Amino acid sequence: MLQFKTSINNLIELTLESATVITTTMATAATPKLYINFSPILIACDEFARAKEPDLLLLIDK
Amino acid sequence: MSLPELRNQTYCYSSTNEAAARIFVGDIYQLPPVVISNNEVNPFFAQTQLSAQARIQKSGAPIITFRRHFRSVPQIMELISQFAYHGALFSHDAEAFARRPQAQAIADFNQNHFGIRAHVVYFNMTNSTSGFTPSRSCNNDDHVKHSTNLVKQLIEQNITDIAILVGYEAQNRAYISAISKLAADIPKIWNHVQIDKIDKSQGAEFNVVIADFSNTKAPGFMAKLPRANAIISRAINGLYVLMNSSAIRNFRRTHLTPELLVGSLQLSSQGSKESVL
Repeated sequence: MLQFKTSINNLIELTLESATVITTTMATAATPKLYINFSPILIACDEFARAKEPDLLLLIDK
Repeated sequence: MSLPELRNQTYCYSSTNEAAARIFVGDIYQLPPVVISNNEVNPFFAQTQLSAQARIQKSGAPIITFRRHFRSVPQIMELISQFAYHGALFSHDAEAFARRPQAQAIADFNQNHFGIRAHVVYFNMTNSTSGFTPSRSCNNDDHVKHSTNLVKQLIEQNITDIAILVGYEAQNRAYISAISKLAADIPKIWNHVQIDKIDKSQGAEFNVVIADFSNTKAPGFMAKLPRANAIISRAINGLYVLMNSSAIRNFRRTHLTPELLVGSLQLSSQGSKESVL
């Protein structure tokens, strides 16, 4: 089971690293796996008027 | 910066200080963030209700306003523009909108049933009275009867993709019950009609929207311009608004949004339509 979890984590990291575009909610954008393994050149956020001020930190601090 | 630019519909902001450029798109004149709290438990409650976009916008970030409107027929677009954006919006292709078959069908329907060849019809429900449930949610049986009858007539004319949008949970439940009873006459009615609260419907669009401002005792949820703006801006080809304007005139003067909407509706619908109950 431990090996399975490790393999799944590796797969997630490889997928994120090789992705061209990732679509996600703001909350999920703050998860460490995505934050560490994906470095976008452009971040676009839709329906931004529904985001709270603390949510802004997720997008600015990248 | 001019007033229409300040009261923009959408805007972009890009940062040059960080590695990634950022584009934020939104509309501060539609629904704000959902914050479940109050002034008693959180002294910063008012601040938490301010959206990130509003904060950035007020801080002077570069803004691009998208004024071209792609969703609604020109008459609905004009209502939205006058109500919430100081007339700053314009239609993408007014003639093409008017040629759409569903737009024509709705205009014909309104001509035949209400004597107005229009895409916006405002029902001034002069005798309607709202009530409150024990949980302080609002319902209005007069509006439910009127809208249910309207839905039946629209579907009979093959006008579908109809949404009934409300502000209150009790009114939402009343509509679900009333429309369910139509299922005996109209099979698969739920393929044609959707009922929802406006807070769950931002971003959606429908061929026809029945906007129910059910509360006649107080402005309630509809006191804020963003919610009223969101409810009227979901319609593509037809918009029906139910409201008791005489009750609205008794609201406190601090709650101007419903009155402002009545004024915009009367301008855009070539005159108000009295209740046909």
